[in-house]
Amino acid sequence: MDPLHLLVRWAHVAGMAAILGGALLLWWLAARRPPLDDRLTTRVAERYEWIFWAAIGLQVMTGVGNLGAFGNALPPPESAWGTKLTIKLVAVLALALFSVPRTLIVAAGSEADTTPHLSLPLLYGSTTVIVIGILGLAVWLAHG
Amino acid sequence: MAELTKPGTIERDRLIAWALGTFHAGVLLVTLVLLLHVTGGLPSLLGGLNTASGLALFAVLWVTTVWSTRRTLLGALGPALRNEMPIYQLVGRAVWRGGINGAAFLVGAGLVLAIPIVLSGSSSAIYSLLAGALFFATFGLVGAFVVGCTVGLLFGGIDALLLMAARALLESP
Repeated sequence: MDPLHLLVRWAHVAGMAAILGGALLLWWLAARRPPLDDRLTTRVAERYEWIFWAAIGLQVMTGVGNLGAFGNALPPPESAWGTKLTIKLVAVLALALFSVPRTLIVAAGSEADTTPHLSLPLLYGSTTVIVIGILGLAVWLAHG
Repeated sequence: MAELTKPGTIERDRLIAWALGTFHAGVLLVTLVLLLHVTGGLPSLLGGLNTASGLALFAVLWVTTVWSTRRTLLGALGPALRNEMPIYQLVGRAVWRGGINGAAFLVGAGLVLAIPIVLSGSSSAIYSLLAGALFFATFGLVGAFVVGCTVGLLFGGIDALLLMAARALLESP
């Protein structure tokens, strides 16, 4: 395999690890009882949102790069593999759409440097569930 | 307006511009890939584009889109994400900035695609490149501006809805 394709695959997996690991950490921090220092959760969430969107851009870039490795041999949309790819692309769009309000809520909290909003455990829990779903689809795709 | 120059607000606006700019560039590309995939046009596109060029093209789109989103949002949001300007004015700004972004992307993409041709050193390829550049500098830029305005209008509307959803969640108990 050529080094660029290897780098693209590594970046795709590393980006997914950052998205999932961060979402799990934030879910735990936001849902923890008794709560940790409120400002700590807000600041970690703010950092995570920067990393999350960097990783999303990287996932899109490297995801298309991975498809590029197929070239003209990409399976048609009506094949089993093609259907899985369609589902994965729709799930990625859903994750991006769902994540914008979450980032906006975290940004509004970081502006005031106040108590994290009560919806954060639900938002990070939902993010984790969607990302695990996408990860499952990715593994399913990788194994044909 | 004094609120908008507070350090917390500046940081907040940077994060929002980064998130929304990446959202726009990412969703645009994934939607195009999805449409091409379901219509069967994706393999021919992938076959004609090498990986390095594809990565560089998306990087250009990402940079220009985050920049144009930041310009669009400048002073648009007050405390607790409240609108600091009428929504029609914000969407109008999104349309204009979308057009600028379309033209900026075309220039960046042209440079990315021109580099391997210039490096090849073939004089006939370089003459073709110059002829292509003339076309890009006229009709191409107008076309890219119009497409950018349309995409800006679409994302301006989507962003307004997502902002409303975030405000509703912020105001919920």
